[in-house]
Amino acid sequence: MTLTEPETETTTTSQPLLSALNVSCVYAQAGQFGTLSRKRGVRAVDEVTVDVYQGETLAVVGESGCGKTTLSKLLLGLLPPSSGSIEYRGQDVRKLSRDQQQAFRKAVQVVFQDPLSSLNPRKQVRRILGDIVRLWGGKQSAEAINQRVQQVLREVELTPPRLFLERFPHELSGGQRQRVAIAKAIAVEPQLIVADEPLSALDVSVQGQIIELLRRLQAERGVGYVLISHDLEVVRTVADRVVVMYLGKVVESGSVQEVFDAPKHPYTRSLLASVLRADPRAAQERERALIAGEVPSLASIPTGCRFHPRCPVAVDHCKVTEPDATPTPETTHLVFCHRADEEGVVEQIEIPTL
Amino acid sequence: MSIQTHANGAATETSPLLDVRRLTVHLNVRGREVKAADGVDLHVSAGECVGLVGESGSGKTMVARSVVGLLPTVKLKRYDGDILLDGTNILGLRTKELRRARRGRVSMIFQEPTSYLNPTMRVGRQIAEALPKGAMRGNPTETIQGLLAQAGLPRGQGIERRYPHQLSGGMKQRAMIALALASDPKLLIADEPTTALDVTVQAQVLQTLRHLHEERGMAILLITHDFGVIAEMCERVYVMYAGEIVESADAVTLFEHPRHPYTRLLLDSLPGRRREREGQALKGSIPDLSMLGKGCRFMSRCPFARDACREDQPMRVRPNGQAVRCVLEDPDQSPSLNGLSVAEPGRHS
Amino acid sequence: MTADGPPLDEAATPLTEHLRDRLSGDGQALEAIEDVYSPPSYLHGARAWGKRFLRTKFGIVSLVLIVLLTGMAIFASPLSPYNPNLIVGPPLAPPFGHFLFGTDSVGRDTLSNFIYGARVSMLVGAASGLVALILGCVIGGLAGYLGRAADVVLMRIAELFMVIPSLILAVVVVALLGSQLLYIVLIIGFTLWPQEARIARSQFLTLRERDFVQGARVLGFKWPHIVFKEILPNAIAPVIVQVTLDAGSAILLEAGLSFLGLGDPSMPSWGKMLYDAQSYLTTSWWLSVFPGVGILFAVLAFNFLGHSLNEVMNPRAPRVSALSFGRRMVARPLTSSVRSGRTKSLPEGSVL
Repeated sequence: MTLTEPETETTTTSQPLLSALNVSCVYAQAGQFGTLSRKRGVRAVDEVTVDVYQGETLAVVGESGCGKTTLSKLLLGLLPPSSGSIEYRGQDVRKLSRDQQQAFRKAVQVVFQDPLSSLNPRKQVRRILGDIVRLWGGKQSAEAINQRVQQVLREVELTPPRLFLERFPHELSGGQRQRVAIAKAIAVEPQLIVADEPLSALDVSVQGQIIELLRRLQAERGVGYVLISHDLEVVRTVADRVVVMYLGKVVESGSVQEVFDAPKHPYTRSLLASVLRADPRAAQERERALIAGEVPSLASIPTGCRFHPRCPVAVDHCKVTEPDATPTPETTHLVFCHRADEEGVVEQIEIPTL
Repeated sequence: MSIQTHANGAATETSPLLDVRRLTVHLNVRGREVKAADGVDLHVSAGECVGLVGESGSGKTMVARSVVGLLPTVKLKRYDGDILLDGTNILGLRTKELRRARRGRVSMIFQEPTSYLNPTMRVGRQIAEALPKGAMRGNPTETIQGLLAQAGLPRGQGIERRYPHQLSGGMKQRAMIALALASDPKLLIADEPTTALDVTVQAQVLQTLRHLHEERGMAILLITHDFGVIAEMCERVYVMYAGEIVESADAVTLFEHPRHPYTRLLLDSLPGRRREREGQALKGSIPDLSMLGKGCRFMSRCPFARDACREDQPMRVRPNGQAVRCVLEDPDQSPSLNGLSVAEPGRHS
Repeated sequence: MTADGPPLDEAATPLTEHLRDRLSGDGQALEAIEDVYSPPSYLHGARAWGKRFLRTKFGIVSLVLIVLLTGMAIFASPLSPYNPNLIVGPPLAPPFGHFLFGTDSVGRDTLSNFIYGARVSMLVGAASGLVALILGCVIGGLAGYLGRAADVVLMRIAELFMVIPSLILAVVVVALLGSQLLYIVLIIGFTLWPQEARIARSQFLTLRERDFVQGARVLGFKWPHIVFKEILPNAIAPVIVQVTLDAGSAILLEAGLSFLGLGDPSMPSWGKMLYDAQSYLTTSWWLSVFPGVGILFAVLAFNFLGHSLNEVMNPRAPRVSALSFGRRMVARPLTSSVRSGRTKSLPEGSVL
């Protein structure tokens, strides 16, 4: 495959690199007589709009069933949206020409949650990376490929590289595997990496190492991230912007400061209230406003605002209409809550001070 | 520590509910001897909530399983030490005696409730099976509902008639807690009870556990890798690394003045704390438990390693009760051999 | 360097974090540790597999049997004393005389027929297995990979073939086309392939959703690469095991067909020998026993091969040893017997 020339930078920073525009993804459920029914489907992602800009780290947070993994698959083009569209540099990814498709694939890469399943168990590291280099590098000698593979291994701090070339994935530790997964992504030299819970399967000490690696790669290469995570502490430290999802919808979004320091959605506040900090004194002192109940199943989504059954400040209106957010030019902070503008209402939900 | 007197004079004011001494578990894996746990000493007194924290490969799960007597025997290469449950040594007991020793004293809940609940049996019936024999005569439904309510599952919703697959993750975990409470244990061992749960559900379940701890006076041994959970729940903490206990202290002391380099580096690497001070990063990974030599097992990754570390390290107890398996008096005062500067605790960068 | 301080020990195998995720059951706990403690170059490479294969008891036995049988089939002409089709002696001569295996009802040497019979059996076993493998992989793989409509259609076809009794199919084909060996092989292959297809389909279905396959799509690989280089090598192991087991079935099927008179009349085969021996079952035992034993060993050989391949390729397969009857791994509490033998390790190779 020949390398397409990188697009000239006529795009300004105001145009997002990758966007999801009002996308929905409906998983069809079993209908009658063995058919698949869309009507009864599970709306894993429901009319979500997210923009990702060049070089930034956007975090998508939420609990199980919120649709963040489905959203990541939509952004990567692995799943077709049931409605809405995904745009790469302003162009619908389903309508790209062959060359543009290649450019899209080169620009957007992925790192998965489970490092073991993200590597072909029957391929050695050498081949895993070599196949990628060969695919994107055009005609090269075996020696050139080998050099490039070793270079990439050094970038992810797997040194000396020849120690790892011959190994199979099960012969590596979890942290090493995740580094190889990251190496796969950066071998293509992307502009954006969608990382779906890249730290969850790793030990605490290794998480720190991988976070540092990702940071370093961003600083050196200017690559952006879409970081899917449930770990709010990590998000707070590494992300620029945050999108909070609940049951397939975005409930709040904005910069990290806006969302974490002054969250306005009851769900976001409840999430922050539930975070356990590694500080026993704080645990004793704090009054915890714990949210009631659990995330309902996607098959039975509540009417109106999806959060209303668990919301401490819900009113009748919330059961009927889905909330909207009006973007204002002054702020990028979007809140999808009927009562967000009312004075002092959401503040009733206490969150721990930093 | 509450005073307990028993007919056989088992637990007294001074002896703890669970006393593990020199527990050693070596496994035979593919022909190699894996030292999963070595000389582990820990104790839990009545009414305490104690944490056992460690990463994967630290041996904490082996310890947990041993305490309840759930280790498969076939792969054991070496099994040594004493496990005193309320005064009775349960190591080496026959099945029936073991069951008798466990009943009413210790119960366990696990990480994945799905694996530990019978999928073909209604939840209420599973709890009924765990009740002591006398309970079935009275009004078992009342007892069962009461247990479920204590575990946070409200009455009147017919939960006891549901099958496990009809419950959400958090509810299944609560059902397992109710199951564990059925035998009215004095000690509950919780092995990663909330790891598989969502953040908000985790907070709820931990709150339930804490209520049970406070209202029933039930002791808890909480095994986890999550320091947040430890900080939230535990009064005392043991830190395990590569099969050994490397530090033990009460929770506040451990978090504010960790003395073992591993604990210190590990705490520093947590995202929440890293913003407070810059320290060295914890590099490398856990050593191969089948190829351990003499000396400190953390040496290869320790920035403070020195020659004295080549000898096996005992636990050194400090005046405040904190015990550390390390030659260093205070890592904060010792120059690091790698030439990196050591940050002082409490200073914000 | 990922490790500070002393140089990285090349022989040390690091632990993995996924141990934590898997410690939800006792058996699983130890399985997880097992996975983690594989020394480098434990599972990979044909050489390593070969070594492990030979270490299993089934492996050696099956290898010996297959070598013997294949050798007999290949070197049939130098080995057999007479031309199997020629009348060389008195009819129904008992064995262990001049004719080691005796002669049949018209005077043909049973031993020569036995030796040549191996050809047909081994050939049918291997060839039918191959047909089943290819058909099964292609159809099952397509069904699993494409999903939806293709899956439904292809699997209904597979079910159709599963339902057709092989004998009826054989009768029809033989009546229409004749009974050459090629047709026999195809008939048997067509009977067996649905099994492989089911396995291949389920493998493709699961592997298609695995992260490394999805990752390959994101990386820009095209579907031929994904199917043949990513999915197939991971999917094929259980299919191959099924094929070896089916090779045994193929031999039995061929024998059955020949026994019913549907086999290839020009080639000596064990089934045909049984067919000819029908009237003499009680009077001339050597006419039925020798070919029967031949079939037995051929089928066993393939079965053992399948079992040992399964042990080698599938780390989760139960280890079955012919010699010990399997002490299952149960979460037994530590009884006094274990406690008293504190430092005694369990015998190597204890079955779990």
